[in-house]
Amino acid sequence: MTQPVPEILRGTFDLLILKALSWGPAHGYRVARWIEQATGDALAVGEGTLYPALHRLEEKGWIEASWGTSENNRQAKFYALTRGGRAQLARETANWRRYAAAIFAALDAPAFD
Amino acid sequence: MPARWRRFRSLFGLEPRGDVDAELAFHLDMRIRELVDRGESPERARALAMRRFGDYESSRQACVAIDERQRQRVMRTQLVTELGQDIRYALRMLRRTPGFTAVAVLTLALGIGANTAIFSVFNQVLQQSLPVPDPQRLVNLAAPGPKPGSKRCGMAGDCTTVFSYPMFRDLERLQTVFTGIAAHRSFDANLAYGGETALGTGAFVSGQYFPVLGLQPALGRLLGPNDDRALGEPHVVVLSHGYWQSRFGGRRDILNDTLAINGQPLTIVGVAPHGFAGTTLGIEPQAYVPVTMRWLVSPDQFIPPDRRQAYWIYLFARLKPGVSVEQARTGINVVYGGLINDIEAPLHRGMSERTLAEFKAKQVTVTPERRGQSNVFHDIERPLTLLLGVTTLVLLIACVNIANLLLARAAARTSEMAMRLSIGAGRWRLIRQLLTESSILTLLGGIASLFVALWTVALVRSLVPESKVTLPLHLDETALIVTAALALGASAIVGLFPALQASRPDVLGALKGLAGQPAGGRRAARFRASLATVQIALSMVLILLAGLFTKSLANITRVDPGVALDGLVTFALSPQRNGDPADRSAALFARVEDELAALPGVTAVASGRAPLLANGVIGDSVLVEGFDVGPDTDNDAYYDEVGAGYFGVVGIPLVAGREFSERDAEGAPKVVIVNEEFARKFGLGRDAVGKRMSRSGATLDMEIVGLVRNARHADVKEAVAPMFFVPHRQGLGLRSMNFYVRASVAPEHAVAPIRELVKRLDPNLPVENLRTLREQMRDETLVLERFMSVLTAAFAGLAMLLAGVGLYGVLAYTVAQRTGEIGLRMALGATATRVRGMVLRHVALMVLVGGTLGLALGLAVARAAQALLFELQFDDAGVLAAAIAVLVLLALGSGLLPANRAARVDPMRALRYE
Repeated sequence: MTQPVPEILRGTFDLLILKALSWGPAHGYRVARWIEQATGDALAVGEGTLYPALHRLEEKGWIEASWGTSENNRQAKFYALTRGGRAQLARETANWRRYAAAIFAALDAPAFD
Repeated sequence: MPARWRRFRSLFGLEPRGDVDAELAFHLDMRIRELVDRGESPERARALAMRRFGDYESSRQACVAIDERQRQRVMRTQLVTELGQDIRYALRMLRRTPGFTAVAVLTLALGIGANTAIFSVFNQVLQQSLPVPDPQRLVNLAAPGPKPGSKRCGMAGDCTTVFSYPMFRDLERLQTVFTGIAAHRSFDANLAYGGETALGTGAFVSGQYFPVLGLQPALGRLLGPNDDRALGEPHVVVLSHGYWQSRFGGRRDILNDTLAINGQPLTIVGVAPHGFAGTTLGIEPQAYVPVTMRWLVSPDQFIPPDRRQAYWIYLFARLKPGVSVEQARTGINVVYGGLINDIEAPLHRGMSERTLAEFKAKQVTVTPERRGQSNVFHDIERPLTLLLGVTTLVLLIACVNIANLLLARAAARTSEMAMRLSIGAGRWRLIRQLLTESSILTLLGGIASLFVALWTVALVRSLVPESKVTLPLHLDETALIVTAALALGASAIVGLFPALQASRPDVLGALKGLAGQPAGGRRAARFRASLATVQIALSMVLILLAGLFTKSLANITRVDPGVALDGLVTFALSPQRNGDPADRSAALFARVEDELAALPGVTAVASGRAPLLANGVIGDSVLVEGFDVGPDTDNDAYYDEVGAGYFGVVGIPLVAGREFSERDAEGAPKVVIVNEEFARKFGLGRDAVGKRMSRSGATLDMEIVGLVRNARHADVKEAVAPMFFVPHRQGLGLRSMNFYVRASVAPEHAVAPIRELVKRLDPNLPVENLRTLREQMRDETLVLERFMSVLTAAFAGLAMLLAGVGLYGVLAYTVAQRTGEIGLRMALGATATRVRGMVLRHVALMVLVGGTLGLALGLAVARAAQALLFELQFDDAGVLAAAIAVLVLLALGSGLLPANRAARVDPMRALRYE
């Protein structure tokens, strides 16, 4: 059922969503906008895939949803990080940093002896 | 956890779809608005937004699927949680009222347990197919009609079902409709192996026996067509699986070992499969021996193998594929008719025309029967069905009890229910709550019922002497499943009605009455009273039946058997089965008798061939001086061979002439003693002594020297038979001897010395049926009667207990409920007696209605049971009166306490409470 996620986001989509919510509850559109800005519009095509991802994260218990009123006074579904979600975010961020550091270290490494 | 699902529930409501649509619509709207703000036209903005969004439908469906999955999980969790709450709550309620819980659980345990046990027995005894492939293709053969000659009928069927050996062989050879005909006959076997001899049962089987059944051996081989080619061979035996396990520990190296049966050394060639216990319920043969060995292993001079007038073998067969029962019947009777008319009819020259015509018209009956051949089916079908009915009534009474208890309880909790409804609990939730309570009760009752069932089966087993029949009597899986079903059904029945009633209280009224009496309503009270009335009716049925069977048994025990039962110990020895020659066993018998007499405490000893009061006498036709015998004259009598002083020892008085003495030995003039019935039947009157008689075939070679009082030699329930007795030393050769020991010490003290004595004289000789004569009578002829009377009495007692509790419960509750009313009456001048009378009138009405209904129903059931009653009419006035009295006592007993409580109501307090 899930459509293909843009290549660049594979494996990091969930992490980005959690990050987007790390400053406080937000509805899906705001999450989309944040990812748009932060990644240089990686979601230009297939923005819709954000929603199944949100619902899945909710199912996992990392975020929770509630209906609330948006900035322009409309009913919108707001997502907020749960305690578990925050821990997951920290864990995944650390993983990514280690991974990236390893890759950079490799890229900077000298040639064979 | 609970916090989380509550959140989910409020979030999704019931429809995730709408939820998702709203969420996605919001996103698109926001995006469109942003694009419009940037100057796009609304149409273009929408198109751009959609393109950016990507595959709308698949995103939407993915979201719905996730939410749906989640919602279901939440609902499951919620259900489990609520169930947990229900259970915790129910347990708390049950703990708070231990009396109610105990009564309810016990009631269910008794009702379900009794049912499970009797159903187990019913199922195992009457419903079980033989453990063979396609048992429904097996048919039993029988040939009713005249059978002049010798008959030997046993446990596998009555005398209409036995065939002669030559007839069996002819049918087997000529028939075309069966895959084969199996012949079998059980026999008493002394099984000797490794220097130890034990008494057991064997079965002679024809070569087709195992092939017709379609069995495979557990070890070695089974018997086959090659094992019954010629008389007197082969010396082989197949063991039953049970015997192989118990006697040989399942050793596989017993093949080709020798097992001596009745002195004949037989080579063990195989073991029958596990679970196969022969084809006759009630007999479990330990060994299967080729039928051609019969005349070596169990000689009987009256049934030589070629005698067509010796009927003793049982036949069953398997239908050929494609052959119907009807075709088989036709086919086998073409063969049988020819044999009867052409070969057998000419042998019966003395027969009258009428009997001969009957003889020639004989037919073989072909009856499909998947359970094998056994008298047990016929004997016990009706009693067991009746018992199953009885236990069903007990269960019904138990259920009514529970329903009544729950109703009363629900009524008492009306205000609680009303309260919970008014603060928003759903009706369904309340019903579920109450159902949970009754299910827990049922579960507890179900568990407890297993113990009751085990105990009941043990009781049943104790009533069936193993010396007489071996029946599979234990709880079986089917019964366990049925118990579970019964428990669930009972729970639904007993739980649903009170639950429905309680969940529909008049909220306002109940809340108003919170401080006062609960609002049960007259209607509910009347309903409970009618339930109690039903219980009374059902109890009446059971009391009546128990009364009838008890009186029937009492009638039997009151019958004077004509034998001095008390103080007699009896046992049997069969040395000839071990292969001892006749003269040696005669010497042994004499020696045993002498040594018995010398035992301390023994006052007299006698011996006889037939076991007394154990259906052991054999019939024979006789010629008597002065009695004319035509072709169809009934000149049958029964005979026994007895030793010197026999009549004195067993307590049969001599009317005229003398007893046998030591002088009536082989070679001395042949003498005979007859009983009064014999004298009457053959017209001898009081002058029997001095007349001459003989067995038919001989010529008046015996002189009657004594006339004895009538006694019921075979069975106390049967009319006295014409009997003649010959001294056993002038008899036909004794294969086994029954000894009668009169002791001045208690019989149980005589038992051990007897065993030792025999062991000293011949260590290989098993002592058979060592017991008092009273035990012998009970175990051999009163099994069914005791079975019925003990069990119906036990179940009726149970029913009375349950009904008493039920009645008491209803009355106590009614009184409690009407305290205010009673107080008012008393304040207005009603006396205590009057109040007591008011309650008792209530009881009387229930007893009158319930008792009458019960009596009508009970008489209908009793009429069906008439055949099981001994010298008793099903509507015996004494039994009826007693049953009614018991019921009235029961009602009074359970009504008196509540009536007294009502009479003691203090008007002031009752009214203040109001």
